Order: sequence, then structure tokens, then C-alpha cells
Amino acid sequence: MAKDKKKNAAAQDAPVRTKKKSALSEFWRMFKKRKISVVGLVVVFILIFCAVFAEFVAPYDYAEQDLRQRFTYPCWEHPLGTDNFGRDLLSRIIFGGRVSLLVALVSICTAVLVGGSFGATAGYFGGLYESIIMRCMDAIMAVPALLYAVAISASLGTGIVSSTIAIAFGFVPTFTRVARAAVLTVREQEYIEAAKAIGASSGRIIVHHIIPNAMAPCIVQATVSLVNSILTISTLSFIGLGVQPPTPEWGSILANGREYIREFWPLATFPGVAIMICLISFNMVGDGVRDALDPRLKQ
Amino acid sequence: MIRYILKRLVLMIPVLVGVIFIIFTINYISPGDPLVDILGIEASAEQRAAKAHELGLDQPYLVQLGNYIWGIFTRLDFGTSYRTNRPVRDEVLERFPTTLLLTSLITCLSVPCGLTFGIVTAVFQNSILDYVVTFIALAGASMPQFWLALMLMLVFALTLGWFPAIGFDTPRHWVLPTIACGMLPISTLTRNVRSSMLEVIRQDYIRTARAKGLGELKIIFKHALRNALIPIITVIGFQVTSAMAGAIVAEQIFSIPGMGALLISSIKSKNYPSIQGNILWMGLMASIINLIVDLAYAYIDPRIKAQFTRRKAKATKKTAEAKAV
Repeated sequence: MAKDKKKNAAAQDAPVRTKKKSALSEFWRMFKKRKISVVGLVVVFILIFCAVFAEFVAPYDYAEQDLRQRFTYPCWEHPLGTDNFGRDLLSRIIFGGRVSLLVALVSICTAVLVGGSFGATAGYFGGLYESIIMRCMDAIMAVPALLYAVAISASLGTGIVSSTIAIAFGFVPTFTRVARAAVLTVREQEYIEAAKAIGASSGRIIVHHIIPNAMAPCIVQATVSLVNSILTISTLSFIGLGVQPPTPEWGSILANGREYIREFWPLATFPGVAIMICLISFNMVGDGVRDALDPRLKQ
Repeated sequence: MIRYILKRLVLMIPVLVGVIFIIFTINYISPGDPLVDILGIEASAEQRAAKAHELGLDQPYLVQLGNYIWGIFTRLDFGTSYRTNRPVRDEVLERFPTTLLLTSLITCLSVPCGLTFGIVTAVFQNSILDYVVTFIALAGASMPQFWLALMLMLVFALTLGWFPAIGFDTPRHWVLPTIACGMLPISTLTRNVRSSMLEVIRQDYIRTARAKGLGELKIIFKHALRNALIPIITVIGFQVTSAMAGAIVAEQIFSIPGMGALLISSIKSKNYPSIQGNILWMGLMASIINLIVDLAYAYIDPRIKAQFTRRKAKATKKTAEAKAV
């Protein structure tokens, strides 16, 4: 009997699994249609690869100084030139990408988890709990996210951890709203009613039925927000509140470049180009994800 | 309509209290000791206790918070700057007009440009023009404002000498900061207007309008744009508040004596009342912009207005019933 049950369970599991796989392949099929998004995805992968394996990709160490070679213009030895301490700019940009991408990714993941769970529970339970959560989010949303990031890093001090918290905070309400709206539409579906009818607990319904079905808008929002969080971390570092030297970060290299902008233009130019390439590719991926997941655009 | 405005104004109060609470708490949990920053490390224990008492720092958290909120709502008192011993309100108000001017300039540049580019790219979808403008918008939305500011300064101020590099005195000074901060809102708006318009253009009522022989311009502006505007207004409101925040960075680069410059110098000198006051003031401005956005919704979308009047009708009906009983 027990064996039979197991077999049955396995047989039931199998179609579910293929269905999940088909959702992913369906997404990929839609995503592939936009060639430009695929290009963006490739660039994003290259950037992430460079950030993770910076030690092996970068031609020099980011802190290696050569005071005889200060302010070198781009040449074979130093493809993007050197800075005021004779450090190789290309290597610093590659290492800087590590910090920017790490802070951006972790802060967005935190915001998705925190905001998503607030929003999902608010949408599911409703009532007073929902009102309290949503009014709190209104208060957070009333101030632009950059200002919160500035206020929190001014208070907690500089560094990777406090910058991550500072950036995540401003993004929480966005995800709360998106998750709540998604849950509100899913909640009315018949399969939720069915799950309730067979006596599933609230926790089980949220985790197994609502979250998988309400995830698409959150994923779209997360890819869009990634761009903003990269912008925010570099802005914070630029005004001296994010990551502190000698750790390279795109924004802090640019802040350094600003001091020498009259004498030496590459230092203020190339880190910005790096940010731009990174953000353009993230934006292209974001557009692709949106088009692939947004049911309104599906024909 | 007046009732709607009043209701929105009343609803703003709890939001503002929430903002004050958050900003106050963020500063409160700061690990630094403000007394050390004010008096220096050598101050005696008595001196410190006296100063703490004078500033109210010896009171419990909730009392401090309550006093702060009460001060703001009754006297518009944002506290006293540690640095200059002047009311934070006065310092902020001195700087505010500059920031307001910059934000207004950015808005005046970005809203018409964004709308025009968005409509044109949507109407001429998949043309060369569409591709070029869409790509520029993509690049513009992917540029940090401070980097664009540096590049504009490098090219147009330091190399070509067309515009002054720093300051904010004459309209010639306004050009570079406005463009630097305007690029992001223009691009974001263009992208949003384009997708919103494309969505609307596919609707049945647009086909109906075409079928009954309306002119193309009338279809675009009267039927498509008006329906596409609702999500766009949200984006505009969001962009204006972000432009205000983004002005912090532009002010630092172009040495503009606005609120952003004050905020950064307050942060560097750990002048907490000034940091709080600055951020709260910007939060207040952002709330007012959000209010205007909400009113614009009601103005543009008769459905939202109708929703409100229907509720009012219901309420009067209810009171009438109650009276009858």
C-alpha cells in the first residue's frame, strides 16, 4: 500500500515538474525573441564573470601603486591609463564592478524578500494588518529612495553592509506594493478556493499556490530595480557615503576623477562608461524579462 | 473637488508623521555620540550633561520624538543646527529657492521633451527615428547623473568654454545642471510614454475612432494620449521627486548653494538636526508633489472623479437614511 502511495505521489509529481520546466522554457522562448535582450544577457554574464573572477581577469592588482607612472594616458601596458597613484584604471574598474554588483544584488534580494513577504501577507490577510502595512509603506514612499539611502548611510556609517541596508530600505515599499497587487489578483482565482476547500493552511496556500503564481511581476520589478540600485550605490560612493577607499567602486573612482578633471580626463570618463555599459545591458535584460513575463503583451 | 483636496490634505498628516518617525529613528540609532561632535573629546562630564540637558538628549527616545514632532507641527521648528546655532528651518529656507528653481527647470525641460519623444516613437513605431530615439533613451536611462554632469562640464565648460563650470547665478549657469539632471527623467519618461501609448494604440476604441474617420492627430491626442496619461502621470510625479533628490549630486558637482550642498556638508560634520531638517523638508515637498499628482489623476480621469462623487452620494444617502430612521 505504502509503495503504491509513493508511486502515485511520484506519478503526480512528474507532470507538475514537466509543467514547471515548460514555464521556464516558455519564458526563454519569449525572451529569445528580443535579440537585443539576449545581447544584454550575454554582457551581464560577462560582467558578472569579471566581477567574480576579478583576481584572474584584471591585469594588475587594484591597489598596486606605481608612482613613476601617474596619470598615464591609455596605452598597451595600461589599456585605460592609470590614476593619481599610478594604479591601473582597468583593474580598478573590474574590481569596482565586484562591489557595485554585489551591493546592488544583495540589496535588491533583501528588498524582494522583506517587501515581498510584507506585500504577500498584506494582500492575503487584508483588514487592519493590510492597512497598517500599506500606510507605513506610503510613509516610506513619500521620500525619494536616494534620500533614505543618504540618511541611513549617514547614520550607520560607510561600508558595504550599511550601504546595502541603506539601499534595500528604499526599495522595500516598491516590492510590497507589487507583491500585494499580484496577490490580490491571484487570491480571487478558483484554485485558491479549491485549496482552501480541501483544508490547506494559510502558510501552505501562500507558499505553494500564491507565491509561484504572483512571482512574475516581482521578477520584472526586481530586474528594473537592479538598475536603480546600481545607480544608487555609485551615487552614494560618489558623494563619499558608500564604499570607502582604498576599496574601488565605480562611484568612488569617479569622485576621485572629479578632483583631477581639469588635468586628466580618463579618470572621470572610463568608470562612467563602465557603469553605462553595465546599466544598458541590465536595462535590455529588464525589458526582455518584462516582455516575456507581462501577460498583457502576450499575443 | 474641494472636499477631495481637503481629504487628501488630511491624509497627508499621518504620512508626514511617519516620515518624521522614520528619519528621526534613523538618526537616533546612529552609533556616534553627538555630544562628542559638538563639544569635542576633552569636554568634562558636567559640561556634557549640561549640554545634553540643554538639547534634550537626556530624555527617553519617545519623549524626544514626541517633542520633535510637536515642534514641527506647532512651530515649524526643525531643531537648532549644532554648527551655527541657528534654527535649521532658517538655513533650509535660505537654500530652498535654489533647489526649487533647479527642480522646476528640470521638470520644465523633461516633461515636454519626454512626452514628445514618447508619442513620436510610439506613433512611428519600428521606424529609424523610433530606433534612434529609443536607443538614446535607453542610454540616457542608464547613465548616472553625476557622470553626465562631469562629462558635460568637461566638454562644454572646461574644453569648449561655452558655459561656466560652477555657480548658479545667471541663466547661463543653469544650462548644464538642468541637462545633467534632466537626461534621466527625459529618458525614463520617453520609455514609459512609448510603451503606454503602444498599449493604448492597440485597443479597440482606437480602431473604432479610426473606422469612424477621425483625423490621426485627434486620435493620438484625444483618444490615445488621454488614456495613456494615467500611468504616465505617476511616472512624472516620481521623476520630479527623484529630480529633487538627484539635485543633491548636481549641486555638489556644480557648486550650487542649494539644499543638497547643505545636506552633504551637514553629513560631513555630523550635524544631525540639520540632516534631519533637510531630509524632512524634501520629504514634505515630495508629499506635496504626490498630492498634485493625485489631483491630476482626478482631473484627467473622470472615472476617479466619479468614484469619489459616488462615494459622496452614498454618504449623503446614508445620512438621509439615518435621519429618516
